[in-house]
Amino acid sequence: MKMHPPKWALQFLRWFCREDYLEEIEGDLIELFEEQLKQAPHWADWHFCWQVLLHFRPDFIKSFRTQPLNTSAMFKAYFKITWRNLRRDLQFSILNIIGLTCGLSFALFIFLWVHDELNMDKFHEKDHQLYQVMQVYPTPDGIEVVDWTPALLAQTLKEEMPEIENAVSIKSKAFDNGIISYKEKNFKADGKLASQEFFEVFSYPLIAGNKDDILSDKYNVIISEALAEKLFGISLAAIGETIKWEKRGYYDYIDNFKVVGVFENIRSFSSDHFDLVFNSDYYLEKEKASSYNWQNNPMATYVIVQQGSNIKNLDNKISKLIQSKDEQIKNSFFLKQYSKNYLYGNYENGVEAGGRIGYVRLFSIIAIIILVIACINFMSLSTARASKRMKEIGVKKTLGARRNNLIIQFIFESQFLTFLSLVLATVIVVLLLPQFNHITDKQLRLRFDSEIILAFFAIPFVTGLFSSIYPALYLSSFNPGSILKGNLVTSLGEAWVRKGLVVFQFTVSVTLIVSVIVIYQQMNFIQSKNLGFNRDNIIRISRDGALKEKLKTFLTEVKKVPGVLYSSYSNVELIGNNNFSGITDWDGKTSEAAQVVNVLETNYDFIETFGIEMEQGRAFSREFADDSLKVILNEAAVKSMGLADPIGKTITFWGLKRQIVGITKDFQYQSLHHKVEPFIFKLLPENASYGDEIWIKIKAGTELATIKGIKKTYAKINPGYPFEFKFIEDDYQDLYTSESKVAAISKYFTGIVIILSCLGLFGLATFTAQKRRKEIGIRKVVGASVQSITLLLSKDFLQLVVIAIAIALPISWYSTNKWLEHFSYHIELQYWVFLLAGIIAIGIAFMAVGFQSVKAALANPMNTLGNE
Amino acid sequence: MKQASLGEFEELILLVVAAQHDQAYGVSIQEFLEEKLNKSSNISAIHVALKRLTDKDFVQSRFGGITSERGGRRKKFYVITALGKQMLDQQYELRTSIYQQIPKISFG
Repeated sequence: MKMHPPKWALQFLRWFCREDYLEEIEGDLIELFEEQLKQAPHWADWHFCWQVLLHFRPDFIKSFRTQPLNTSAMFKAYFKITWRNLRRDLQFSILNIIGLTCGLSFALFIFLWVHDELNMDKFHEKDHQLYQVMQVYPTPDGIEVVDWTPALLAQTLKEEMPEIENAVSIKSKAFDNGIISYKEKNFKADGKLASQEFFEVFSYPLIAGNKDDILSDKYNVIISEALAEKLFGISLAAIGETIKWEKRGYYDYIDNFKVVGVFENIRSFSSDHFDLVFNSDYYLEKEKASSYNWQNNPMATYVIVQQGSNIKNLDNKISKLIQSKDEQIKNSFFLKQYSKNYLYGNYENGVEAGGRIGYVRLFSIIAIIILVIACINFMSLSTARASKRMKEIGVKKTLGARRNNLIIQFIFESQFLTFLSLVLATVIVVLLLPQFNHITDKQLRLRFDSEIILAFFAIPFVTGLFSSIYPALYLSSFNPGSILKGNLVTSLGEAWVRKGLVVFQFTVSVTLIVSVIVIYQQMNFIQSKNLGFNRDNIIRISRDGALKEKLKTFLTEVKKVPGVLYSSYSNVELIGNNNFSGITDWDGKTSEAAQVVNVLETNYDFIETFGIEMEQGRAFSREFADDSLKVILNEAAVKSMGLADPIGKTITFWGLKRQIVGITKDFQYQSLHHKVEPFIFKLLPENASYGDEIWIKIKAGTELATIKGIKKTYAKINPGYPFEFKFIEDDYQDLYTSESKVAAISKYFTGIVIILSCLGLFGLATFTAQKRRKEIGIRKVVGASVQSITLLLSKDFLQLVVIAIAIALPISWYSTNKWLEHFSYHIELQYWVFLLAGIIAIGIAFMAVGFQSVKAALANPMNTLGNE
Repeated sequence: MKQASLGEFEELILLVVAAQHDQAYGVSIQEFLEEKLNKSSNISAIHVALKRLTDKDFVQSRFGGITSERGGRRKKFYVITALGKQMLDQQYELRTSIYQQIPKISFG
């Protein structure tokens, strides 16, 4: 029996040992090993290993440093070879660069967007300590989380809790869209109400004014730079001036204020935008007793916590503190980091449920998919080109190039290409940024921010590295002997990889085509669905200034303008109405619970203005004197309440018995995500001081002239106020902002993916055609027709595309169905969509492949075979 | 040129190489040492000493023929060089001259 020393020990010895000593040492050790075998066979292996280990010393360890290389010369050579290869296969190079440029510019755009989203609201100096107090509040429909807090909270927290360094209470929406007047100038502006600490807690820089005592008086106001310039020309001239503010509502707020400060215009990295800051005492005092107690929650509270505080403990302490102030308060409170509100603003049943972060994630994934597809193109093109470079590799290897050198060379080449693409992509990004900002509704700029610069180099670098690793390993693995002899057979596995990549690309493409078609169909459906009312040519004006008193005059005057069909007014908007109340009793009520309904208080002619169809009965009319106690319901309400023969029946609503005079057909006043819910119209008495939304229906085709006429009337009755109107079509579109954004983005996204997939396929087809040109030549000589050759060449690729379609269809069916489920009213998926997507994919693939195939098939066999 | 020094173990190995003239290789040196010193020495130590002696030009080496033993590896035979012999002579003289100066002491 012949025993051998342990193999791995021997390998280790060979790995580290200097070559000039290896044979001697190995021989001596084996001789000793054989000797040992005779004496103590059990120990022989151990002994051998031990001896090997004893030789692992500086005297015998070989130098692992490769010879000092002339690095600069080497890179020069890499560069030269790269450049020659680029020029030799210009077509491939251009395909590669186009693909990478598309992918990179898209990825850079998305990066800029994501970067902006992630940094939103983080500019406040004490961002890490800045928290907002949220209230958890149970409702019959589940737990809600709101940012309302008692007005007393901020002051109390500051005084009674050592962990809270500072606190401010803020009222945000109440003073939006007020009117500011100075001398003859009137502007609309958004106001914010805050306690004195506002500029200490938030870092909105002041241009003028001292932030410590700026809001000390309740008739002080701080205005934005832009507003100051509009009113006074120079921002600093604003200090000390008096301006008039007017905001009407349940209470009217009309007073003169002294400008004591000017703050810098709020930049795009803040999610909160406002033009003026008032002292919140001014607001709260009007609201009187209701404000300064613990049960009403008029304000939002923001706090600066001490560094290193345990937020969970603080949550409990704050809840306990508030509950101790008033026995009736059972709700709990918690702190939420202010800058997180922007991205994680949604709650589902009291639990944080994402928000805009969903889009951030979605778009990041999209960018990664695009980059992966671009990398795949690069990979498949480089490996396909391998045969062209085999001789180069063979010669290099024979001359002593190590595999490492070759790998580095290929990586260098792809880095060079990505760098070229980066330059192009940066140009594209700079040129198309305004367009992108328009689509995404952002104000992105290319700033020289360290993160952005890093990303601009890191994204291409990683892309280049990722796309070159497989080709580099693959190309450098060739055996120089067989390459130079010319009998290298491309392995089956490698062909599979390339085919797999094509299938993946087309799967993504087909899925996207289906999604885009479905999204567009649904958007179309939204636009064209009969909502039960006509939203065309209705404009909305708000009731400002003199209109408060002279509304009736205005409406009478407006009706005289030619082209005005109807006009009316209501307390809130119809579209997106969110004003709930309950019908407490009705004839034939069976259950205990009140019927929840959406309420709209309207004046006469509202139903006519909106063209809502009546099912039974009548709309409010001046011909009946006592309509103030009459109501109109929609069909959904009647059904939900189980009313039979409803006209003339009475219901109890808002504490009074009211008679039903009409039933409207169901109309879609919310977005199509929601089902039509019960709705009630109540007459808004003409002497009421509220009812701020004025609606005017204009005859189609006369919009311009009619609006001009309305403007004239407006200026006559309400001089000095800007005439601002909005078509309610725009209100309707606002319901679908995120959907239309997704639709727009997915359009571009699909376009780029299709382009990239085509580039990849086109490159592969070109390559195959080249590789098989001798075969084609012989076939033609023997008598094959152009068609049969074209078919032969295209067949392989079309097969792949068909496989991709087969994979993509279930995926796209599932994902689009999921998306559609968000809508209560949606289109049904139709089989032709999938058919169409398949045909488009095959068509595109055929165009990419066919051109090359036909070209190859038409080539004269003399040229391909003649030079043999 | 600075005279190369010779360590104790190296000197011993050099002596063995000289004694086993033209037939000294790693394992044979180890066996010889074991026999004479009655103490096992490590082969790696011998390899190191041989390498250093070669570096100092005290020994030369040549490869033997391939045999079926030793897994087919050739033996590396060492021969002492003139320089090595000279070194040994010097050492020997130095030692004997000093030795002869030792007064006759009896250690009873």
